[in-house]
Amino acid sequence: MQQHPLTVIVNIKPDQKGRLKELLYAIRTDINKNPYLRFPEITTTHFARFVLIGGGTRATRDLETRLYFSVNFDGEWEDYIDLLIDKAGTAVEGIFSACEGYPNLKLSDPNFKKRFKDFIKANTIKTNTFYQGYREKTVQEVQQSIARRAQLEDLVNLKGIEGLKAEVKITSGSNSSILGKVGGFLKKAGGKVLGFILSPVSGWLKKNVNNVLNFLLSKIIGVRVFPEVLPEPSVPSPEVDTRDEFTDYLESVQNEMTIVSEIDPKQLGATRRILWLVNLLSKFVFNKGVLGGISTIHFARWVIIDNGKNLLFESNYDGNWEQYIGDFVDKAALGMDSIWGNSAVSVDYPKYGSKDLQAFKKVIINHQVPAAVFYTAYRFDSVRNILNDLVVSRLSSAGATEADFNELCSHL
Amino acid sequence: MVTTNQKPTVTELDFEDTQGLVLNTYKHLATSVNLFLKIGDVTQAREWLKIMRPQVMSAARWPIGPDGKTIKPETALNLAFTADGLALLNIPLAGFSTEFREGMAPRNPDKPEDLCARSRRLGDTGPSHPATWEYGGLKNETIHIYLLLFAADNDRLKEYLQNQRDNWERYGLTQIAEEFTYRPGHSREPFGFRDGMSQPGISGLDTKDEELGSDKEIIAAGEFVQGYLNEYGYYPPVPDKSELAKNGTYIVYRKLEQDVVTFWNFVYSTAGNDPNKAEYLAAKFVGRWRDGTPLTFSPNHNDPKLAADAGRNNNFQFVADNDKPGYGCPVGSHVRRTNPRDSLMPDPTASTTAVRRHRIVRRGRVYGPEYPEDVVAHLTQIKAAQGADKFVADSDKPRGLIFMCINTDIKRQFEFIQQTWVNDPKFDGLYQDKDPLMGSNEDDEVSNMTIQAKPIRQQIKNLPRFVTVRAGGYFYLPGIAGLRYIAELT
Repeated sequence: MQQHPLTVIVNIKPDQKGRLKELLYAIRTDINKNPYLRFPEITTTHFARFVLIGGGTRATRDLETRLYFSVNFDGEWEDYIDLLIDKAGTAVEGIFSACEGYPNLKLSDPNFKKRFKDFIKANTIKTNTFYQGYREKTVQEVQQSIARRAQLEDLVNLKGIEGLKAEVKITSGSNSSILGKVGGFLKKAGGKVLGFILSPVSGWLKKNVNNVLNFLLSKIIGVRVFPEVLPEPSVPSPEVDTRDEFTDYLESVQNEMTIVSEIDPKQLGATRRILWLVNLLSKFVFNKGVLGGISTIHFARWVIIDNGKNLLFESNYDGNWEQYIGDFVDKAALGMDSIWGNSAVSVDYPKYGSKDLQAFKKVIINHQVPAAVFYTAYRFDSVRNILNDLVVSRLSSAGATEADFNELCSHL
Repeated sequence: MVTTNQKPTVTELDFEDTQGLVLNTYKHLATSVNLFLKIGDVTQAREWLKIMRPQVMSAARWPIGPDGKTIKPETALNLAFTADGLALLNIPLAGFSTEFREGMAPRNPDKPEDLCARSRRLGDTGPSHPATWEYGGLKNETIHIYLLLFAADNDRLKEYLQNQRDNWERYGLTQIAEEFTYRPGHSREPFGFRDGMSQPGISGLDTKDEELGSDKEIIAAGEFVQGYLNEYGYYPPVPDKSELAKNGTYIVYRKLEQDVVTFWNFVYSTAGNDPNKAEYLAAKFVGRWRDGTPLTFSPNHNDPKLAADAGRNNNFQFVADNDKPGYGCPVGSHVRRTNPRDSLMPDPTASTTAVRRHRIVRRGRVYGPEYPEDVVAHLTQIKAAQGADKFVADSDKPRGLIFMCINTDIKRQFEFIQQTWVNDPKFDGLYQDKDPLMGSNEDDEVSNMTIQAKPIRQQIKNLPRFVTVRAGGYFYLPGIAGLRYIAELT
């Protein structure tokens, strides 16, 4: 089953805003057990959020004119909405009836599901870039892996490695057939030949990676590229007042970030291209839980909204805000600059890019909106924990070999 | 794309204008006292500052005598301020960092005993709650001035202190707290481990200076002194007033009480009372053997020669020296968490670049009765003498570390290390492990220690708390010209 993002943005009816906010905050006060919407019952939900957003400038940031509903889920969106209605129909009514275009039907009406899905579809925006920390693993698989690892850890603590051996039941011998062995040999040999042929190319690439990258980014994709070394002495950046609601200690391991920023109209094409490229890279290169060096992101997405006027960014990440922004700059400055450097002048992107950390932080704060409701299916687990748990689960399943067992031990 | 290999160019530091504490450990002035003062009358306090300024020790090189030997001073004095102090002295606070202005434990005027977000981030919860602090906390008097005095021995220190006290009292200042500290001759901190072995080099300081230790990594001066480029190639934010914009820095001060007896009892009981196993376990918690031998180089036993070799005892990397999985120095051990070196990311070079942005220069000292070099032998002796079945205290006077560090960006440097590395149970892929020595372990926030090993790891569960915060504060240490400005407002 595939994981999918859902990005829905709907205008809020101004006279309904107060009521909507009350309901959302009521859900937030007990995210797992409130009487209205309990995401754990909507079992294909990895992460979900409701955010009241405005526009892409500092002045319009807090206007709360529309509702952003976001989910990272398993399977097809229609099935997800069906499940949402089944489990939390009243909350669905309560929330979305405050939005423009909501079908004027009662929940009990036989046409409700279809008309509601039409409404959702009409307000869904296609996600340009979707990053997944643990690709195509279902909520169930992840949760089972988490439980499995915890079980094995307790077992080792209680009964030592012998207890683990008894539980895992190692099968003797290798479980690959002759065909498998030949295949494995051919793969290795082929890899060596290919490596030999390509090595001058890759050697040249490695030496010139900066130049190639710059050419690709600035000339082919057309994004703004910032100098690596400052061309002139910098001036002190003004200090940033970080907002405590972003940096305060949270009850879950994860934190959320939602950013809306204006795109420079001249850079709209470049923005589409870079998002397309990062989306591609997310599928084929950044597909092992590390996005350009950052290993704390569960799911992230970039969406061009408002007919190309604004860029929406959402992330579910581990740890605190300071660390996350610092990571962006330390590890993925080029990526950050390639995407957000295309911002409109009103966004005030730092002159020399994200390495001007104070100015970069200010830009983020000027465009970040805290979620009214934030749900994670993995309250206590970081990305690295989850990836490790998935490996532990795989290595301890039926048919594990001696080699698997040894590797398993190194993961506990 | 990370700018790797971008070694900061050597900076021209202004030694005369920088206070000595920034660049100097005053090694030969082994006794010291921290004074926390309150201003009575602002005009009088200004007069006091005027006469204090010439007494402040700068970082200028000490003169060489006719015999070719350095003439070292017999005392030293440095002076710092809280935001409240500066405000009282009519110094505009625009441009000073948020952390400094709010303080380490900001009071909520409506709910004075509430734990603020910063305290939660720093792990100052439970017994470390600022409402329980001896000074600098929620129930304590507001501090204005932080005065540091150093001397070669106790007698000289007492005399120096008395002179200074007579002085400040004459100008209407009163003492809120005093804290005597010292550098033990054997360089062991109270748990018994050799300390101070790993300090970053500061670009522009004489790198041959043996006080810097063996750490060959030279960090941009702007990380530690205002007015110079930092590790991002930018100037760190400085106070708006130009007279205060150069050669100042922030001091982080924390009184950390160490429960040495509980620590060694826990280690011994976990190790089945086997002394060798206990040494091994304690070394795994710290990341070094008691004599300072790094576990990465010597995982199974200490190595006195290696420990004594300043060129090698800190010259290790985790990935480059084949210790990425942590079979030598565990992933969650204290020295690894406070400086992950090249191990924090898949790419070691990128990791080093990132870690360089979270370094601090430590200037702390020990407080409380001095232990002999071998704490365990000492405690063993007392245990035997008293016929006890486990270690007992040799004194009811508390002991610990006055942790002090210097940085220009409190949030990105000190607070980052504390929140994101030391107290984060998810550090580097771990599950529920805080720093085993310093973790803010609670009943409702249990912490484990995972010791990576073959064939399988050892996991120690529910570590008790060994360190409690008793006082703290953020202070601004101005440059000498800055100090003149504060005193004279010109």
